[in-house]
Amino acid sequence: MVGAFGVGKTSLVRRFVHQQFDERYHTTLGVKIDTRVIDTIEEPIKLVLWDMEGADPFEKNKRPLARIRSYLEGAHGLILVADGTRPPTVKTALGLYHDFCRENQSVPAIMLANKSDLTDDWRFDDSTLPEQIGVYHTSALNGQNIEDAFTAFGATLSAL
Amino acid sequence: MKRISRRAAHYIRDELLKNERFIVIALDAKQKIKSVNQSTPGWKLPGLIRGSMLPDSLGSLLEASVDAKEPTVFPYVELNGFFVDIHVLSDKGSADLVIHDVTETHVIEQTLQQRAHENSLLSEQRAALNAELENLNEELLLRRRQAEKASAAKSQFIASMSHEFRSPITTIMGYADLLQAELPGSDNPQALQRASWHLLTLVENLLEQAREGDEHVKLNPTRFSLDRLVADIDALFRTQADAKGLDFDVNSSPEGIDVECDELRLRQILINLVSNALRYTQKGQVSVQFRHRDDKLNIRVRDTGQGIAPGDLERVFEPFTRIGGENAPGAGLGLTITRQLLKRMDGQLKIDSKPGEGSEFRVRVPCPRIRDDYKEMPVLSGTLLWVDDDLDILSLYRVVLETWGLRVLTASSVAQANYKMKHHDCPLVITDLHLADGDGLELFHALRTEYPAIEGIIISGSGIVDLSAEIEGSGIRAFLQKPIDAGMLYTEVAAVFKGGSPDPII
Repeated sequence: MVGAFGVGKTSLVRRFVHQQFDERYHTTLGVKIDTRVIDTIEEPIKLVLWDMEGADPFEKNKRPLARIRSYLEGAHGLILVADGTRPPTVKTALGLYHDFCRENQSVPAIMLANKSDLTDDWRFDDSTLPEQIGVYHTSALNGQNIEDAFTAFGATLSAL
Repeated sequence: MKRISRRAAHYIRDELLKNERFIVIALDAKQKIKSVNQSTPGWKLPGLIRGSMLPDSLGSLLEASVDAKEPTVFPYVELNGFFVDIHVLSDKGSADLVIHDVTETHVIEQTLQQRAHENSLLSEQRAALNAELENLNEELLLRRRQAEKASAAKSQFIASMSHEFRSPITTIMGYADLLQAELPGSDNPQALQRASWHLLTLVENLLEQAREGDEHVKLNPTRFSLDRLVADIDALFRTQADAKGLDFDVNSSPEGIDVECDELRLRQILINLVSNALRYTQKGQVSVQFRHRDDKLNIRVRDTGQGIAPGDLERVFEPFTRIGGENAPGAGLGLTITRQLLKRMDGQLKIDSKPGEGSEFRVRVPCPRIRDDYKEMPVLSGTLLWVDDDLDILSLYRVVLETWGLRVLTASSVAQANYKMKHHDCPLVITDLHLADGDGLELFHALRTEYPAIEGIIISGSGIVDLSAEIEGSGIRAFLQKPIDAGMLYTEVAAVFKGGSPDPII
C-alpha cells in the first residue's frame, strides 16, 4: 500500500482486516504488516499487506521515500492509494509506481481513490492513470468498495 | 570501520550496546526456527518458538530479501506493538534475522512526523479554502456587476416610465391652466387639474416604491401657492367625505403665502394621508390642518376612524400592508411612500392613534416662504425655440408662451432644431432631455458651440436625473421637471427676454 501521507492507507487496511475505523489521523512511520485470508471461487488466498508510511507529495522530506523504496523490493503487487479530495496525491501515488517500475519487474497495480464519502470536495481525475491500473472509489469511513477492491486484487495476484 | 582493537570492540559490545535490545533468530532452509536469542531476558516476541515456522509477517520480509547478497535492513517495522529494525542475513538457504528494538527512537521521530504531516495537511486545507474564497470572490464580483447592471436597467426603466407618464399629464394640466384662464370662475378646469394631480400621485407612488434606495433621486423644489394646494386638497376629497357623511374640515394659516418645496412630493404625501383617513373612517370627522411657521410646514391629518393598535404602528409602514386585511381597499403603499418621501425631504412623521377612537398623523417638512411675487407677469418680447418630440407639449407651450408675448418656434427633432436655428435669431432654446432622435443636452451643447450667446432650459420627465453638474457654465439656465411649474418657467424665460429682444445672433 503506497501513496502520499494522509490519504488513508492505514484506515483502509484497518477497515479491510479488522472492520474498524478511527477518525483521528495517526501518521505511519515505517511499515505495518497485516494479513487476511480472503475467499475466492477457486481457493482461499492469504493476502499479506504492507502498509507503508506516506510519501511527501511535494518531496520536501526524502527519508520516507528511501524507506519506502527499501520496503517495496520484492513486492508482488502495488495498491496505490490517493485522496480523491486532494488532486496532488494522485500524482504522488503514480510517481511511486513509476519509480518502482524503473527498478523492478512490472507488477499488477490498482488505484484506490479514497474518501469517496466526501462528495462535496471530490476532485478525483483518473485521466493521467495508465490503462492497466484499475480504479476503485473507496471510503474507509463507510467501507465502500473496499472488499471488492482487495478481493479482486488478491485474485489477480493469485492468478499470476 | 575496517580494523578496531579488541578493547574497542569489547567496549562497544559491553558498554554502548548494553542498553540496546536485540533478538537473533536462526532459520533453516525451510524457514523453521532453529534458535532464538534475546539480548534482554525479559524482552520476548510472541510466536518465536524454536522448532516452529516463522510468523507470516516475518516470513514475508524474508521472502522480500531472499535473493539479496548483502544484508537487507527493514527499518521501523511494527511487530506486536514494538517498532524494530529487522536485519536479514541470508546465506546458502539458511538465514539469520537480527531484530533491533528501536521503539523509543521511533516514538520521537513519529511525533515529529505527525506534527509535520498535520501542519502540511492544514496548509493544504488553507490553500484549498483560499482558492475557494477566491472563486467565491470572483463569483460575488460577477453577481455584483450583474446586480449593478440590473439596477441601472431598473433606474433607466423608471426614468423612462416616469417620462412616459409625466408627459401626457403635463399636457392635460397645461391645457387645464389655459382653460382656467379662458373660463374664470369655472370649476371644471380645476377639477381636471386636481384629477391630474391625483393620477400623477398614484403613478409616483408606484415609481417611488420601485426606486427605493436609489440615491440619484433628486427633489424638485418649485414655488407654489399654499392656498391653492389647500384648496385642491379640500376640493379633491370633499365629494368622497360627503358621500360617507363625514365632517371634512381643511384649514390653513397663514393664508396668501407662497412657499418653495417639491410640490409633487408634498401632494403625494397629502393625498396618501388624507385618502387613508377617509378610507378608514366610517363616521365622525376628518380634518386637515396646515400651519406654516419658521420656514416649516406643519400638517395635521386627524380622523375619528378605526385607529391603529399599538402593535401595528410600525407594521403600517411595511409595503403592501393594509390594516383592514387583504380585502381592504388601496395598494397598501401610501404610508410606506409617505415615510420614504419625508425622509428624502428631511421631514418628520409622527402618529398618535387609539383603536376605536381614531388617528392623528403629524407631518413637519422644510418649506421656506417666498416673499416676492412672481404672479405679476409683465409682457415679454422675443423669439425662442422649443424642442420636444411630444407634439401636444409643443402646441401647449406655444400657446402659453405666446400669451406672455413671446414668439415660439417649435421643433420635434434634432434636425428640425438645427434648421430653425440657422434661419432664426433665438437667444433661448428650451429642449426636452429625451428626444426621439437624440439627446436634448447634446443638442444644446452642439447649438451653443455654433451660437455661443444662446441660453438654454432643459425639460425632463424622467424625474431621477441629476444634471446640476451639467448646468455649471454651460449656458443652461435651469433644469425643469414635468409637470412644468409655470411660475418657474416664466421666471427663467423672463430673465432672458427682460427689456425686449436681444441683438440678432447671426
